[in-house]
Amino acid sequence: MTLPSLRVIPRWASAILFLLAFVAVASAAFGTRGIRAALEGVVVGSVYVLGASGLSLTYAIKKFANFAHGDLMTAGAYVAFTVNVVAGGDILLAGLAALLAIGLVGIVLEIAIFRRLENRPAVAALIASVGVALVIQNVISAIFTPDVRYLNVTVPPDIGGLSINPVEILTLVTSVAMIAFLHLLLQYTTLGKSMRACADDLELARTSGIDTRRVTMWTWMISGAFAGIAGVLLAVIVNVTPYLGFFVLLYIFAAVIIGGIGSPYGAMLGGLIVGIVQKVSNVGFDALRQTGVLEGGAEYEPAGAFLVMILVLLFMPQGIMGSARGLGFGGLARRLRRKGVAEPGP
Amino acid sequence: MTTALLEIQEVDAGYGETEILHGVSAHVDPEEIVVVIGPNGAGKSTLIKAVIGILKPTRGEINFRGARIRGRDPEDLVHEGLAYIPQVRNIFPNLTVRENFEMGWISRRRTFGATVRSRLLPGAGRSREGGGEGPSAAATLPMTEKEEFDARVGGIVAIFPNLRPKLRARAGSLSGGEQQMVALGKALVLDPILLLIDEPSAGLAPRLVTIIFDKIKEINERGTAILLVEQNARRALAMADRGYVLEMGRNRYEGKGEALLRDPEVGRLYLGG
Repeated sequence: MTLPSLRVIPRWASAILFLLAFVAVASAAFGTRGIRAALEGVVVGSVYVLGASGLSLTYAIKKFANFAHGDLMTAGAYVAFTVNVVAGGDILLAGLAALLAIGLVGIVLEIAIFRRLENRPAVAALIASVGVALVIQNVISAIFTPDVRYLNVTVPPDIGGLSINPVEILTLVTSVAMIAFLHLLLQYTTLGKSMRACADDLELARTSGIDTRRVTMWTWMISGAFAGIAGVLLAVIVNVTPYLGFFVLLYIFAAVIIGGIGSPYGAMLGGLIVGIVQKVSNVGFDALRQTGVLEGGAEYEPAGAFLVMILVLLFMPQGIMGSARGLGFGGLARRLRRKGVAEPGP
Repeated sequence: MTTALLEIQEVDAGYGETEILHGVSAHVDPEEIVVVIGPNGAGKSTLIKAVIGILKPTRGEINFRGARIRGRDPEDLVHEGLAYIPQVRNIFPNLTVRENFEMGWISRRRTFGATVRSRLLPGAGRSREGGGEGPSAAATLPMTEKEEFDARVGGIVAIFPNLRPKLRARAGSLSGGEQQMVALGKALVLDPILLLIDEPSAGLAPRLVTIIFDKIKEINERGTAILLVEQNARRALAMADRGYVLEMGRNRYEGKGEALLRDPEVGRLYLGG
């Protein structure tokens, strides 16, 4: 196959092909362990997908990376913990509570903090979001203590030889449903189209008569709701600690960067890539450890995912979907390029 | 003398500390095409940004249809019948052409309610009473929102037939001329009373400039007043009812389009001899 004919394949499709090839190689090398790891990766990845697409939504409109996004996830996990363990409620009710509560937190953050920083350089909002992250972590530690907690979920026995757990399936189904909701919202509703318009050009949106403030509030709410649910899912498959989301934030940033900053569709793909590569490469590191090449343990887990991020940045700095060809919001690179061209004089 | 549609009185405006406009005055009458020309940095774009409310003037008055609009936000003014097409970044590149029109259409709910001015609808000609008062026959028919929007889109693609097969295409994928048509169409969806256009010919090939200018003329003939800022002074003045020449943020000349074209001094200084 010659190189020009490769170009007709969209980049997201080639990314999926690469991912499938990666999983195939892994399962050839490690057998069922490889496949099992890939499935675990899909489950963890689906949580990253929720986190990353929520982060992308606010980035697309506010043009800064919200460092508190991971801690919004943590807050969601603790809302669920309160409903589920402290109050003894059902896990589904707990998830719903987290969705609503963190959606509201998103709106409060916009009104109380980020709207006030609108006319400052984006770095001001970024630093403020780091502050918000620290406040959330410490408030949670103060209320709940830093102890590791667990949600009260009855874990049914695994299914089949691949030891798939019904809880993992529920996680996956929830993520897929949320992503389908986001897709329908963005493509077919007036609000979603307005969100895409605001992401493209906030000033043009204003002069087109779009109520950008209202759209921004909705964006924060949806981003928060997604973070809340992602936090609950993470709490279900891992545990609950005050630093739960903060540690995951690195993976989520990796997912967002791989997918193309500001593109929720890219974030979806990026989340999946990061999750699968992380879990599958883990099996590889494990094998190296057993042969004595590597020492240590879980510290290596992030390495595979970040290696992919570095590779993507080297070969497509704008991310997989961050180009003009993207389905989504378009990327930072293009925005910068456009800024460079003929900024109109006064 | 009839009341002006838009009246700009001794406006000072600028970016932050830098004042660009110093006491600029101008007016646009109903259904007129008024052109603002002048050298680079004269404050032409600043003037229309001050009108639409992107920039807040520090002094002076701006009235639209007799009401004070100085300092009001663009998202509000759009509901009053003003529309603005920036020079660059005037479409949403990642939305389809139809979605771009829809974004123009979004603000209708707060404005026009059930009655719809409908110069855009097929069969509507230039209404002499101006301002868009008096619902036409088509507007009295009950229509659902979607039918109404579809009718508007139909009206727009009647003006820009090239866009008809491209309604579902990503706007950013179209050619420069087509993008300019999308920008015009997007502004027309709400059937504005006054259209503010910033350098529509910028970056277009001469053949496309002719097409775009013809379209602007056509839009005007359907009853929309136009305030046009242009570098391409000769062609703009040729189609304008009146023109203003700005220099260093001050009024320099004003007059009928043709008179300015024939004025030897304007010609020497601003039209390249």
